[in-house]
Amino acid sequence: MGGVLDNTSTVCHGPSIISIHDVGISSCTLGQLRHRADLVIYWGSNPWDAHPRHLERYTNFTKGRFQDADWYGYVTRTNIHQTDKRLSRILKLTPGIKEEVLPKNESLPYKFFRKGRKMMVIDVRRTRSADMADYFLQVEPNKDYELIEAFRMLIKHEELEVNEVAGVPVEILEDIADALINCSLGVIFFGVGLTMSKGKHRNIDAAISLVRDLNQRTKFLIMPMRGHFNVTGSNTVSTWQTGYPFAVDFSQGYPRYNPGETSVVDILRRDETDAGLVIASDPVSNFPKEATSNLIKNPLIVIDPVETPTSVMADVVIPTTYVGIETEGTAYRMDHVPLPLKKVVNPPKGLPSDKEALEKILLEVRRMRKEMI
Amino acid sequence: MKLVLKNGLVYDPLNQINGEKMDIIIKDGKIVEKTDKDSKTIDISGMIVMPGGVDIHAHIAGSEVNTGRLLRPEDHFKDVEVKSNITRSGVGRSIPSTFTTGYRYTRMGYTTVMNPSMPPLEARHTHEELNDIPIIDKGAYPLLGDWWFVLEYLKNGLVEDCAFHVAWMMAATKGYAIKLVNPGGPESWGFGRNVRDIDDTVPNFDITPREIIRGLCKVNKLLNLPHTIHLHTTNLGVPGNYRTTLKTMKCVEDLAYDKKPVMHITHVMFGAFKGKDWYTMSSGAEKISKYVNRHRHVTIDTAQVVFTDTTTMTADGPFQFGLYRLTGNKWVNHDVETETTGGIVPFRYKRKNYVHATQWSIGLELSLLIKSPWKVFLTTDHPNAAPFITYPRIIAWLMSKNAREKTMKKMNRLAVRKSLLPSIEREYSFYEIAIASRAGTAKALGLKQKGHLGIGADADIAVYNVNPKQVDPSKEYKSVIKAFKHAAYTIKNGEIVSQKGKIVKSNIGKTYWINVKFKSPPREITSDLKKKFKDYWTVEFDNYPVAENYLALSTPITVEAEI
Ligand SMILES: [Zn+2]
Repeated sequence: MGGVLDNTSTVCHGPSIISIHDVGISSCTLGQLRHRADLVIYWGSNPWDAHPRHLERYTNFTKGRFQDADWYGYVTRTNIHQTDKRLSRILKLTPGIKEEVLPKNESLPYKFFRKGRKMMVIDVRRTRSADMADYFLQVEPNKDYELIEAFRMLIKHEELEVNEVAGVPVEILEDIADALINCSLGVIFFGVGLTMSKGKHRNIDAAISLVRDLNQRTKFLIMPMRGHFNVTGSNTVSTWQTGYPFAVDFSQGYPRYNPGETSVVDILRRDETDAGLVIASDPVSNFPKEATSNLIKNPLIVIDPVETPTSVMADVVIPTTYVGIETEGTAYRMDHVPLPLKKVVNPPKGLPSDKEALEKILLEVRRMRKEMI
Repeated sequence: MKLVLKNGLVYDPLNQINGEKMDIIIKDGKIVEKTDKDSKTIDISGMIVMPGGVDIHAHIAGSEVNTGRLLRPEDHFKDVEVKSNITRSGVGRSIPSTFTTGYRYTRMGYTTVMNPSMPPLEARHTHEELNDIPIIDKGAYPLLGDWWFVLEYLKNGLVEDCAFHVAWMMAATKGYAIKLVNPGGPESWGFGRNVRDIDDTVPNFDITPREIIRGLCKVNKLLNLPHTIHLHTTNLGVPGNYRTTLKTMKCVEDLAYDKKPVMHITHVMFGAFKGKDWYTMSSGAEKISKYVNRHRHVTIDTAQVVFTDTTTMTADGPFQFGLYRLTGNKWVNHDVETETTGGIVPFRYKRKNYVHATQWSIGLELSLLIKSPWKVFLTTDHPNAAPFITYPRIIAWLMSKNAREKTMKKMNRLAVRKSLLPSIEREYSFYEIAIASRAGTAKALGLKQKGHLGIGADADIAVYNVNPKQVDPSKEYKSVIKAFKHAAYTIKNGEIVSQKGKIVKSNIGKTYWINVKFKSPPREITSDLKKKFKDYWTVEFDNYPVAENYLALSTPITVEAEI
């Protein structure tokens, strides 16, 4: 057709992909971390809420070959937090006693200088995951880049000539830098808190470079915490078929890639489309307003098992089966491990899978264009 | 389809045919004896006929290759494949997209390609990509040299148990051969370390690379696998490593039997460095060639460098990290739980660089000093030493001293002075080219239907438009390059798929994998596996194996084990 093919990374982890083009990445499958990681850092990501089973399956709360689960530490910490909360409630109710404000960014607990699993959360606010961590580092909003660059200097034993960076005293940063160097295998999981804060892919570039530098001293890995169901799969297939992970423009007869120009939001903003085909995603809820209005003013076809704000706006809706329930298929886990999805129940009669629907459309298109592929 | 190739000059070394004028008759995808009346005849007078090329080692699919594509959009921008009404569009260059890979091999007359490095956990991905590589036949080697089960069984001397599990793995990953990459190195790399000698101990596992290599060599024999173990040596890319390579070859000498090879060492150029550091680095090709000439138990491929921009990718994580430190280029590392690791670094081989020029020389020295082309095969370890599209240029260097001298004129002076090439007169014949690029590789792989044109062979054929009676390859090597770049005809499975560089038909290639049958009813081999599965991996036991219906054209080869 000579159209443009894009996927949901264009609105979530696109910046991480662009960083990989720039600097590469030192990463792994999740089991590697389960077996070996003794320092796990969640940066701008909140696994407890966004990836509920992540901690117990892959990192701090699971036992690996070389690392133990840290349930005990977690229980202790939770008890302490509960007690703190109760205490502060009592204090509030007691007349005459002023509530004491907890100091922000305390020094690093002693645990970080010993062997064994440690969990650290770096975020702009205290999330549930931060409560569970051995240490929470609160960074001022949009100061991630400065913080990462500070760590990069510290691990090269360079002096920082300021008292604090991103709201964190330098003494604490020095201790953390030591912990980064002294672990046997460290990992940073980063989320949209980092990819979508100021600096975007420069943040990720810096984070990947930090990990790269750390590998001169110990073993360190980094992984994006990706959300959308099988968006990794879309990137993966797009890359092997076209060379590019998203935002692929076929209008010249070969794949072209230039995010910012060939990405769907930009094309819609420039009002260059004359029709849209949306498969199992919901641009109407996620795209900027002008992009959305240009998308829906032209013919719009939606292929989706569920009703979404996008499908409501469509001219044609092709309902399909649920992959992994009514149809088998493959999904790529966020660490690129491909998993088979099984069929559990029969789909309603006559309902095609997304693959079948697309194949039929393709067949018809090729027939019309007299192609023999 | 019925087809007769008339009057071609046939090079079919497995049947000792050396440039004879013969007709090749094709029916239903096979080579047959008699012509049918309704056969289509093509007159190829003055052209060369060879079996379709068989590449024993090229990274064309899977998570590592795909991450390479992802890493390098700049590799694709200038080299595109425009769609036609038969072919799909794509991009090159050192890490071409899947469809492009199939078309480009086909244009060169290659019809079978082995993908040498498949992380078992990600086998499903490898096969999904192989399915999208049209026309050529394929296979993949699962990485087993650092798999915890292998390390544990071999540590405890349980070779048979190891063999049962390797057989399970071949079926589960739909794999073709046992691949070892710097055995013990990837496991050590899990905590940022490496092994430096085949007698170093792998941390936490109390086993040495020597024990792993020997163990899997024994397993290979017990299972009667068609190919030997396929090994990437310890200390890859380190000056002085030719000693390690020799030691590695020696370490299985006593396991040889029937005068057959028991070990294939891949991309030996990267393991044939003399010297103490990069300043004193020089070629160790002479020593290695001497050893290979005197022994029958080893085959090798070279990994010929071509001066160009390319992408290095191996499962040797620590090696790739070293390369990143050396170059400062962008770097990908990808550890795979319980099994292996991998790394990727873009790389440019420069003719004026002493080390790179020496590497170029080493590859050719190996090819020319090892007397029998049945022992040394043409590869570039695509894309590590160069992209596979450079094969025609390499063929020219092998066939023409003039071509070599012309390249050396523009090369680093010191490298030329130290190189053995100026003293080597040997030039490959077309017959020897056919061995190094198809007959020899097919034989080493144990692919009985490939690499020859005898009755019953697969009708995978390359016709090259160069007349050995008129063209002297030594002088007119440019005609040779031109001929091998775009085969006059490539025939795959009995059908003409490419003509003068144009794809005329795109069919689906087979995927070969090994299905081992045991003599005694097999033990409950999976009980230990099942028990440990949840502890070792983060996927379910049932989700691990790649089902046969995942393969576009599944072609199991059943072998009978000795146990
Ligand atoms: Zn290789």
